[in-house]
Amino acid sequence: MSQHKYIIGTLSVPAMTDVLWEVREFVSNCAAKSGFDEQQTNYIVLAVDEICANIARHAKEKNASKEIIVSVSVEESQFVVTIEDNALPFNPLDVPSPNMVDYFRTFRNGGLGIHIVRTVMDNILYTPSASHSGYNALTLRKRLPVA
Amino acid sequence: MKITSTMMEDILLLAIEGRVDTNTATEAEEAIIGTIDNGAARIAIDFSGLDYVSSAGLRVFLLAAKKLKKTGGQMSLFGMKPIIKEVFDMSGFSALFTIVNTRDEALTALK
Repeated sequence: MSQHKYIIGTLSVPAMTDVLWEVREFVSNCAAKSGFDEQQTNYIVLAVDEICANIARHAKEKNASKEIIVSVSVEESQFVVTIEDNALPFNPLDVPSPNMVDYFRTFRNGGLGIHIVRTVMDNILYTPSASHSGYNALTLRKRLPVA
Repeated sequence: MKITSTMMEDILLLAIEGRVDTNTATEAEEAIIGTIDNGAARIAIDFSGLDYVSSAGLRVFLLAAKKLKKTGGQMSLFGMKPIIKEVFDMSGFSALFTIVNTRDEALTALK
């Protein structure tokens, strides 16, 4: 069975928090173009921002010369955002989602961003960098809205 | 991101504008938590100029609420654009705060 893949666009930015607004704008345009309403578009932008902010924070601690590549495509009936980076491998899916009541009571740091990503997206797949590429990849999928 | 503060009798009114994301959260935290450290006990935050909030920003408001709980203070949030309210709702944060529509309601909630 053939897999239909339509590439909407790719954006590459340095792994720094002060340029992530560019990613947000790019993903917002891609999601809106793919038929998501304003609310869902904003949610998708937020999910991607959470992932990129994580990468930028990790990259900053280790090395400032890292990059993030965001590719957006439509595959079958899925909106697919792939976020690649050449920082140290870090699987955000290893972070457990907080119970919000406990989160408020104990105020432990972390977990909120990935909780948002899990809430917004239908499927998340993390592939740590293989030695041949040096890039980690996180793929976020969300079913396209019914036209 | 910009925060302006005004005292209305004994209530501190903070107006937050722009974006509270990973890039600006530290600045927002210093400003808001700073007011609590300086003794503010009743705070109303005007969200009408806020265009974007990520988890880093939500964390700041949570931290403020926790601090106020410890000191016996109170906080109310008002004027959220739908795009911001939706993020509070989706993340489960709406249940943790007093969120109202208007400034009058926010001030009344603190009395």
